[in-house]
Amino acid sequence: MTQENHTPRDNRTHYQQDSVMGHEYDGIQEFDNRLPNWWLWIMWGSMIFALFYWITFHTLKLQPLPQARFEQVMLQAQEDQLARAAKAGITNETLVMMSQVPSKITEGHELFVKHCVACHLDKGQGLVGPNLTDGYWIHGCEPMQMLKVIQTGVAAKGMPAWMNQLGPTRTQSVLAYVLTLRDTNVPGKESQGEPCEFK
Amino acid sequence: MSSSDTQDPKRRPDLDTVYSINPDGSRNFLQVAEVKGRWTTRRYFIFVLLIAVYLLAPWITVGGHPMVLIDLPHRAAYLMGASFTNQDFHLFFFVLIGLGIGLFVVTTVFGRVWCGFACPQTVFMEGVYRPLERLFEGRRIERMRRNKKGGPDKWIRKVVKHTAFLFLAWNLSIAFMCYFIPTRQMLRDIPFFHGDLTPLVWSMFWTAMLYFDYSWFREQTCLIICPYGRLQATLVDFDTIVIGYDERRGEPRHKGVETGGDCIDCQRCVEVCPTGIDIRNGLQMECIGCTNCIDACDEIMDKIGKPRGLIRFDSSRGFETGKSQLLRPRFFIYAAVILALCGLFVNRAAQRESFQVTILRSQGLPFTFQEGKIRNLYSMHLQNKSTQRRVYLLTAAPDALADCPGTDFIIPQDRIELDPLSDVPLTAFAEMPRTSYSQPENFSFTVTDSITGETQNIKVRFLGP
Repeated sequence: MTQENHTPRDNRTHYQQDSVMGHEYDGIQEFDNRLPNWWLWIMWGSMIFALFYWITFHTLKLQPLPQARFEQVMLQAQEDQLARAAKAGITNETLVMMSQVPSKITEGHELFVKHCVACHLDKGQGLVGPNLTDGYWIHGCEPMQMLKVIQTGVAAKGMPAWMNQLGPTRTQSVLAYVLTLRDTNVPGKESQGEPCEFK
Repeated sequence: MSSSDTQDPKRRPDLDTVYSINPDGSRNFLQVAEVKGRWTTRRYFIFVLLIAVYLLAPWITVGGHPMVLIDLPHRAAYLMGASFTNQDFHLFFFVLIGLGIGLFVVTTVFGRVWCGFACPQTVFMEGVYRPLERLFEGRRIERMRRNKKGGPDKWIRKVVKHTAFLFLAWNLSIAFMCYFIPTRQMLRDIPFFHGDLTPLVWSMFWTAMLYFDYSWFREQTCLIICPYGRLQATLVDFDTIVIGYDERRGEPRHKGVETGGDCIDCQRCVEVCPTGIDIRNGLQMECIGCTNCIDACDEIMDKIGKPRGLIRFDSSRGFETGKSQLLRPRFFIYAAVILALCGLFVNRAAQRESFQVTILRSQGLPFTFQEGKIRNLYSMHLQNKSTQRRVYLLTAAPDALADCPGTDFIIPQDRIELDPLSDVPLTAFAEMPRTSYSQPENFSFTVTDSITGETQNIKVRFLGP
């Protein structure tokens, strides 16, 4: 706005004219006013925080870094999941008991026919998936370990994780049925894994 | 906490410094005078409306979901009945750019109406916190006198005021978090301290931020932190409607009505300014377009029997020549850009698939041998992006593999039921006798939504030795 035609206004007083800096570009000059104190507090505070952070996390390693902390939390979550299952009364023994309950076996059989036969075939003799009728098990002999295979899958071998789709109860039913297949020894896929003893 | 009586008494707002910062860097805490007038009334009306919308939006349900909810843990967002998952995140680009350009359009034509009328900082500062401060500590003159005098009358009032500020900040923080945490969960976790403590901890954090902002920081947010304010110089031009002082009419300013211009240098416009500027110095970066000085000046003009509008909404050109041009090329260009963006957004949002399937070759071996057959393993990921439960059918189309005898597909889960916005990993195999294999061939998997009939084909490759 041009102001030559107007009376100079008294409150444009150039309060700190002495703080104008020496340089000038295209007629634009720069003031060197003091920074707000709150701004300086934030700056010094950040520097002090950075120092403490560096010493705590990188020099003394008193606390785990975010990546390690994440892995810790994930590990803890897995343990919690197992603990929850145990708290809900799911143990090797209860799983074996389930495999003697006809309603559980029937439900498990229905689910098996629907979801499992493509890889394990109708009698569990195995095709893509291993033979479930022999005495050999790849991922452990305990029912809890088998339940874990059903629930979380074995991605590298093509065994899907069924927990999301079927949930805890129905995966237990499937295992209940699978446990009835043990030692039926239907000729099929060759034995894989380690031999297991069942009572 | 200082008041404006800690400052150099000779100091007046100027263009060279920020008035709310003293020369030694300490804060010059402004005591803003109260103002009445038509713009103030309009503003309070808008504030009430906006606060109502802001507080109620998360509680209103549209199509079974909150009207607005950004559900970070589940990577989903709901807006006016539509649901968005993380795969739709690219749409966020249009939202951000659209808001940015929208602000450009408005700023080009009407200056900082956003700041003065709709920004939450202003709405809650002027609509809630300043009236509360006035309630507990009185008008400007009273506040300044009491701050100077000290004593229990001052401190009791301050303690009560800050307690109210803190409590209000806590409530606002919870209202704000309702945009991120479903209201039902909020009601369960916050007041009764059971369930998850995370919302409570976050509400404490936001309480501290809001309390700090509204009790002490105030205009510093607008002057130094807000990026929009710093962009003004590039957005406004001579035809932008801004709040300004009519120099031609007001100067030479003069105490007393008889001589000189209409401005009687009463300092009312300076006293009522929430950012501590003198609007008579011309358009400044600090001005948030709050209209306080318009109402203050109009009141004085009424009293001295001069026409209103010495300070008013007008363009810089209007103040100099008396003529304004509201619509100009840059307005139409910005408007065209924003219309194009809106169109693109609607188009992209409408063409979103209701489910998404990705197929990855299984990690590790590209193929395995099994009883004289080559086998390929494919890991898939299927996500239901709709808000309904759906059933999907997974099939394989042999395509080029049809020429290889003995080819077989094994799909353990060919019928997949998925809850709204949930996802599942899937596995499928393809195998063929070694004798049939000559070279890598393409085939595809097809996922069909059994309800809508929507299908997606994903091309994959069969590999062998």
